[in-house]
Amino acid sequence: MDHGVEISRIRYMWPIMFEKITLKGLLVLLLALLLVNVVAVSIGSEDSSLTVANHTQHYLHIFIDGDPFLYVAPERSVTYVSAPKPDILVTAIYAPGQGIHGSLIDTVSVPYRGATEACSCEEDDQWGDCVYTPATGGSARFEVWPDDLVPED
Amino acid sequence: MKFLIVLGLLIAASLPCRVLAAPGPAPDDTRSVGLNLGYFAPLGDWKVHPYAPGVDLLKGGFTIGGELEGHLIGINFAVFMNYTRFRLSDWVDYARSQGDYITASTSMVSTGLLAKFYFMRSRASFMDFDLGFAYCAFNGHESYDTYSYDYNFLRDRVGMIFGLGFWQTMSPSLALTLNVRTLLIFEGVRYPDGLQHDVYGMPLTAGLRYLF
Repeated sequence: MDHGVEISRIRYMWPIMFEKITLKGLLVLLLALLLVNVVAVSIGSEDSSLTVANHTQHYLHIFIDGDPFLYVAPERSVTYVSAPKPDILVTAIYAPGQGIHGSLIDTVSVPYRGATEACSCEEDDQWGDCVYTPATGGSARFEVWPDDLVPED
Repeated sequence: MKFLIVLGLLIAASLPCRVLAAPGPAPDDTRSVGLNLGYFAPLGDWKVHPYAPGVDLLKGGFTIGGELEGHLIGINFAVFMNYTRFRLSDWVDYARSQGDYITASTSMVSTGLLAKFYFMRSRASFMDFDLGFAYCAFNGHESYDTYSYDYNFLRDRVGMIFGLGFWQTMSPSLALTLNVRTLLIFEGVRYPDGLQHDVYGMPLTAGLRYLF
């Protein structure tokens, strides 16, 4: 085989291949990537989220699992999103400078299903294919009322 | 008022230098490195405390920075970095008056690129219009009772910066500069319950430039 001829053929064919890829191929590639992304999101873990609402007449500093949500106005709410977990720790205090003191510490349960791994059993007592299902979380809402905030000394 | 006093002091400080002025190279014909010192005046609602009546959470403070300027594709560009320290005494004092003892501090580091257009040239002085962008990173912190938290409602973002500068060359390699600029960061403040403000303020600085 004359390698020189082969190389020149590849050089000749390459622009044609590239032209074909640009229209149809690129669209197919984008659709495939989109599909993979959608599937990845749908089979991936669903986050846990907790919305905390301030029903007091004052501004609150709210700490959800240690993350600060500062100056939450009366009748406003904040939402915390995290990896799936069964419990979320909520701490709320009256923001300083309002002439009122009080705090709340509570653990809020949120819908949660732990990760599972199911394996089929083959005839000769051997484990077959295993299917792993990641943990999934859910949403919950927590209301903070004036009576919930215990006055501090 | 304090802003005007600082502006007046900076202009007054520049007068002796104008007397000593000597012709030097035009700033757009040479490279320079400089040090700026001045006052950052925060403007607008973003600096106001969310609920304390008539109280500013952040008040203006000193700013210090460096600038490196060069000539590229027919335009002068300057790379800069500034450090600004805000004062929170208004808010801390107010909280104390309500019986709450807090400690708080907030600073901002900004870095970016400016395009500089020189005009109004005379023998030894020049004026320039600056336009560019700045990445601004805030570092705010407060301690109250047993709680300690960051001011995460101050967001690190890219903003735009523009303003005017004045050059007075003192020798072939030294110049005095005065700069009045405006920094604008869209949605630079966002409280977790959704309230947000654009951040803007005026850095007012005087500095020295070494031309090389």
